[in-house]
Parts: sequence; C-alpha cells; structure tokens
Amino acid sequence: MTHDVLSALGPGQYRHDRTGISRVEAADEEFDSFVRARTHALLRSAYLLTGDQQLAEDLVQSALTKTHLAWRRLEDTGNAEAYARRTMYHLQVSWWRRRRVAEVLPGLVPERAGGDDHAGSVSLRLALRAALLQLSAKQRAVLVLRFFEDRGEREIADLLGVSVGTVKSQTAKALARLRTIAPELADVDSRNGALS
Amino acid sequence: MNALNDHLDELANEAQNVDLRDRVHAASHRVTLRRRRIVVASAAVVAVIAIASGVAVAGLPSARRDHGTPVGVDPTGPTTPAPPAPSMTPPDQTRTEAPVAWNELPATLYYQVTHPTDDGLRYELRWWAGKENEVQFTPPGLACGMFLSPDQSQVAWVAVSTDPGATGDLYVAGIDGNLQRRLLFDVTCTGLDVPVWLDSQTLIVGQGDKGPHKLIDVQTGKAVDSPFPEGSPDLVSSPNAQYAAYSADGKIVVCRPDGTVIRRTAHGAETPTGGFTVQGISDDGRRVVLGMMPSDPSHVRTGFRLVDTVTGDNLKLPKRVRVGNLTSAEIHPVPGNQLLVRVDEGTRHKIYLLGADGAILDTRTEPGTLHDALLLIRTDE
Repeated sequence: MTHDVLSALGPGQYRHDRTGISRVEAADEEFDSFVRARTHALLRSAYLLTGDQQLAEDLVQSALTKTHLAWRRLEDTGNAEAYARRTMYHLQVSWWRRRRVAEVLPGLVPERAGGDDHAGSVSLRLALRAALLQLSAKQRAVLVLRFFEDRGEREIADLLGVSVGTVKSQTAKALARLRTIAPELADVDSRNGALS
Repeated sequence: MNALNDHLDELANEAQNVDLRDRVHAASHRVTLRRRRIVVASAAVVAVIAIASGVAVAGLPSARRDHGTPVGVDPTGPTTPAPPAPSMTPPDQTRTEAPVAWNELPATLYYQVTHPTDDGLRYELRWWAGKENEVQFTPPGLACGMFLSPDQSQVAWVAVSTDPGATGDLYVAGIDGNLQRRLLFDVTCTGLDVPVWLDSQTLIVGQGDKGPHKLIDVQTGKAVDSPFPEGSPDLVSSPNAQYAAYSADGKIVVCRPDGTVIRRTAHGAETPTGGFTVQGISDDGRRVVLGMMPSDPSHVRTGFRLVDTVTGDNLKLPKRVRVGNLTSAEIHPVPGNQLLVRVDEGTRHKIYLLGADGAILDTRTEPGTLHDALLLIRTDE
C-alpha cells in the first residue's frame, strides 16, 4: 500500500496539543537549540569551578538534565539559562562533587612564573587553576561569579541562596587565600589592583 | 576589566566545547524512568494496603455482602450491557506486577517468517539479537500464523491440513518448541479471526465456522465462553492486560478484560481497504492503533494509525520518526504507555522506541533478511 492515508485527511484534522506528542517534539527541538547555543558558555564556567574538562562536562550535563526535566515550566519564562547556571552552582557546592575534584586533582602545584611573557602567562594560568582548586567550593563559586561572570553581590547571593554578607566575607576570604596560595598571582595582580 | 577577570577568562578558554545533547537526553530519560518506577511502586503499595483493608472489612461480622453495589463496581458505569460473566476468572485486573516501561528496545526480538510451499504456508519463529538472527522453532506441517505470548515464554499456532485452512488445531509450546500441546480443535484462523493472547495465560479463539469465541487457559486447557460480543474478531489487549479494544459498527470500543465497555469512539476515517481494524491499545486504554480491514483470508496483524479514543483525533508520530509513507510504519503499544514503531525503509526496517511523552528512547535497524518477516512484539519485560 502506498496511499498516504493520514496526509489525505488534511492537517486541520490534527489537534496535537491534546496528545502532547507534537508539543513535546517542539519542546525537545527548542531544548536542543538551547543546549547547542549555551553549552560552551556553561562549560567555561564549569571548567573554572572544577578545573577539569571531564568534571566540567559532568557538571554541565547534570545541570542541563535538570533543566530538561523542568523545560516545559521554563520555556515560557525564558529563564532556562539562569536555571541551568543556578543548578550548576548548587551542584558544584554539594559535598560529593567537592570530594571528586579533590580526588581527581591532588596537589597540582604550579611552578613560578618564568622569564618570557608566554611562559609566564601559561605559568600564571596553571597557578590560578591550582589555587582555585584549593579554595572551598563556595569560595570558588563566589570568585567565578564575581570576577568571571561579573555579577553583583546581590545577584550572587540570590543565586547561591546565601546572604550578601556571606558573599562579601567569602569573597574576601577567597582573595586572601589566593594571595597566600599563589603569591605570584598577587605579584601580577597587585600591579593591576585586582587582588590588592 | 581587572587582572583576575583576565586570568579567569584565559583559564576558561581551556574548556573545550562538546555536544552534550545525547548525554543529557539519556540522563533525563533515566531520571524520568526512576521517578516513574517510584510512582509505580507507590501505587503498588497503596493497592496492597487497599486490598488488605478490603479483606479486613470483609472479615468483620457486620459486613454486608449481600446487598448494594459490589466493591470495585462503578454504579454510574457504562450502560452497555455486558455479556454474562464467564465461569472462568477473566484476566486478573488487580495484579500489581504490571510490566515495567522499557528503558530501551529488548535485546532479543522475535519474528514470524513465512515460507510458501506447494502444499501451503509453513512458518518459522526466528530470533534476532545483535548481529545474529536464527531459527528458534519451526512448527511441523502447515500452519496458520504464530502467536507469541506477552511474556515470550510460549508460542501458539494453528495447524491446518489445507491451504488456505480456515480452521485447524490450536497448539501451544514453549518458546523453543518443547512441550507441544494441542489445546483445542476446529479453531478459526482466517482474516482477523486468529488466536489472540489476552495475557500470558489466556488465549481468545474462535471455534468452528462462526462459532462462539472461547477463552482458553493455556495451563489447564479449560475453555469458557468469551465475555466479548461476537463479531469483534479484531480484539486486542493492552500490554498490562488492563484494557481491551475492538471495532464494532465503525466505532472503536474500549473495554475491560471482563468485557465491560468503557467508551465507544466514532472514527470516520477509513483505511485504503475501507473501514479499519483495531490492532493495539495502550496501557492507559486511551490510545489505539488502527490497521487495514482485510479483504481476503490473509491476516492483518499490524496497525499504522494512532487514535486518541477520548477525542477521536488522529495522533501524529514525532517528526524524528522518519516515515516516508505512513502506512509503512507499524505501531505497537508496549509497556508503560510507550510505543514501538517499525518503519519500512525499503530494504530493511528501522525500529524506534517512543516514550510516553513521544521522546525517542532507542532505535535499531533490522537486518535486511528480516524485511519480510512479521515482528512478534512481546509486551512483558
């Protein structure tokens, strides 16, 4: 049989919104578009939080999975990325993920910055990564939100579910710890005023 | 921008972009299944408590069991009179061990392969798993179709002496052909009127020329009258055996396994052979699969049109299920309100497993050697 029976009925006879099938399909396509467009941005933040590509992928995957499960609720509000980021930071701060990071990257201590600019840049990057991993998960999250994502203290407090005072104190402690752990960063940044 | 910002940005550049879509969808599906299992388990616990409570109440001396509406019967239920209840207990409607929704397509699938000979049709049951597909069992002599039980532990067939044989002896055997038993003689096997498993213990068959249909307990061989009206040879049962459906007077009839009608849905759209037949019903009793009306004694055991029996609407498959010609897609209800769709791609079929929400959970491409074979879908896991 080659007769296209359903097509012959005409599109007006389908009311897919009652079945959910077509609506779900459209939602999946929108979600796929969202994932395609925003995964890299999320991975960049996740990489700073975890210091490892695989862990960053796991973290973003977990956040996107929760976003997918909540997609029908989120797609109308346009807050999908905010939801995904909030979920990602909350997951990162959870104890088990901190432990995984510690297990995967033990004692990664960088060498001090070398003489030429390129080598010095690489060395500083390594120093920063190692230093970040020695901070607590919450301190790391605060630093990434404040200095990488350029978010305000109120916004960070809302996102992490803590008070503004906690954000301020955690930021101060994180910067102080960075100066202690990686003095080469303080040397550089003191010239620019970031860590001073 | 301060220096720390620059260094963080530089460090973030080490993150490589990857496509996480498949991983996210798979993880999301696993979570959904986990949640669903929790719901099913909770429902089972509630059911057990409810049954236990019922037993306790029934055991009280003051319990009145000779008056009023029996427990579990809806007094405002359908007005369509149900036929007298058979003496044999119909398929158990209270069982809680409903088949679990599939995570993925079953590793092994079974097929009926037909071999025309000079004498008539001979059949074989084949299995396919991975790169292998081999003969599982070949019924002796001429036969009229093979019918796999939902739990795929048994296979039934009708042995005939002529071609086409309108009636023959009903046999049941283990999936490997062992323990063959003749259950009933003069069983109808033509067009739509073929043996149908209502559950893994019960077959419904017609006997004799236009004779009454019987429910056969395959363990005991005991036969009782069917609770379903005669003239409904396209009877099908849901994977969880909680619903049945058939066509009557151009309507789709959804009922309970004891024949109690739940709803009748008008459906005016015909198939290319005129009218339609019911070929499957979902676990929730809402969606049915319709197929062709046979115009000769050949069997029709697959459907291609999905219909919502509450609204009467045709339902469309997701776009990702690549169906060039809608009649070339076989749709089979499987446990958990899911669907298995087998799409003819010319030289081979592609199989999709669709979740209850329409998401594609799994796909598999059959070997070309099974292109002309009939997929005998199992529904129990």
